[in-house]
Amino acid sequence: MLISFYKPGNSLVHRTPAGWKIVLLFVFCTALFLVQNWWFLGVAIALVLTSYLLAKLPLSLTWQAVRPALWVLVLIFLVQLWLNDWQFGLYVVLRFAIMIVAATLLTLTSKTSEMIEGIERSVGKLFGADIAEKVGLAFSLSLRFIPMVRETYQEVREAQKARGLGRNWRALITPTMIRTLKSADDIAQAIDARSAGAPLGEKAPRHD
Amino acid sequence: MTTRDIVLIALFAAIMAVLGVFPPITLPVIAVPITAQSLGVMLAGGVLGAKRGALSMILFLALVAVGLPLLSGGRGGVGVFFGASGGFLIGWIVAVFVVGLLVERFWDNLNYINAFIASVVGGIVLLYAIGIPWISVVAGISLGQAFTGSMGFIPGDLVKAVIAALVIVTVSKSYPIIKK
Repeated sequence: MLISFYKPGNSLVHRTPAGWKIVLLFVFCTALFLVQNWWFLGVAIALVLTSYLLAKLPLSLTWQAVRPALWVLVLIFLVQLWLNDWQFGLYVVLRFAIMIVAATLLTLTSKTSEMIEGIERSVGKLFGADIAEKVGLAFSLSLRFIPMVRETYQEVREAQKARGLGRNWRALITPTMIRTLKSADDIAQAIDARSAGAPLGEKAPRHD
Repeated sequence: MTTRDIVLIALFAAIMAVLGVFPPITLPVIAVPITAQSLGVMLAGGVLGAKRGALSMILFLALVAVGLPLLSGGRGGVGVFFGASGGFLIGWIVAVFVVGLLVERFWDNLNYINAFIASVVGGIVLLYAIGIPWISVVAGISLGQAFTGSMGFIPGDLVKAVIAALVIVTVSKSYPIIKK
């Protein structure tokens, strides 16, 4: 079902905690916008490519990261060519591309589960354990719901196809939504019946 | 925040993910293919209301950011937030909140017209007001040029607002969530 972009490894880049990588990425991108010169951009590109090598990732992955944004990059270059000159166009496009490549490195070297845990921990520090528990519940529920909604959607689509409405968005969305909203209510009641989320001490005794 | 709220927030994040695999439709006049995911932005506010809608969008974007390929076309990871459409992704949260706020305001006499207005104000006007300056900064072009470049998507977005209004009103009658 859900396959994340994570590429397993044991390098320094992989072992750096995801939270640190997010901070570094933020600093990196802010710096790129604040300092505008070719020399700085060159260092930034070298830094990111070295990190890919350090993570033992093939450099072809950088191309894969940029490819979805390619037409936008071409468009930006053409507009800059028309407005300014090709040097500035190239500068803007390269800066854009290297930010995407750097952000992709974070995704390639951090496990989805670790990043979700990291978010829960940060939320816990900022807003307390009570909220963190709710955030954790929301994350795990949504991951469980994706196949459920997809299944409901497939059933609805089969039915609507038979009526010739297989590409009618309204006919696909409304029944999918109402059916999944109903199951959501059942699930909420089931969770409450098991006293999840109740303050400690008020939890129902377990009979298992 | 009750358990039901959390379940609904999680459900809508999942619905957003499934809208990402909807068959895209192409309008006959303009060639821009339109995808169903930004329709989910209008629906999240219109069905769940402002607060739960916005939280479900934050949850969905968090799932994208941690590396799940949930955006239409199988895109995901932190990289997408640095792309040209990054402003629109962040703008989704505000857009959902405003659509929700308006639908809550109109709730007692909700009809196709005011549900459409809510979807247009939050899901188009406000969303572009956030997305266009972002494109202009990232691409190094003026606001006017970014605006002109984005106009091609407006007809598709209007179609989505019509569909959103139809779905929001139908759901409000058969399975109301905002006020029961």
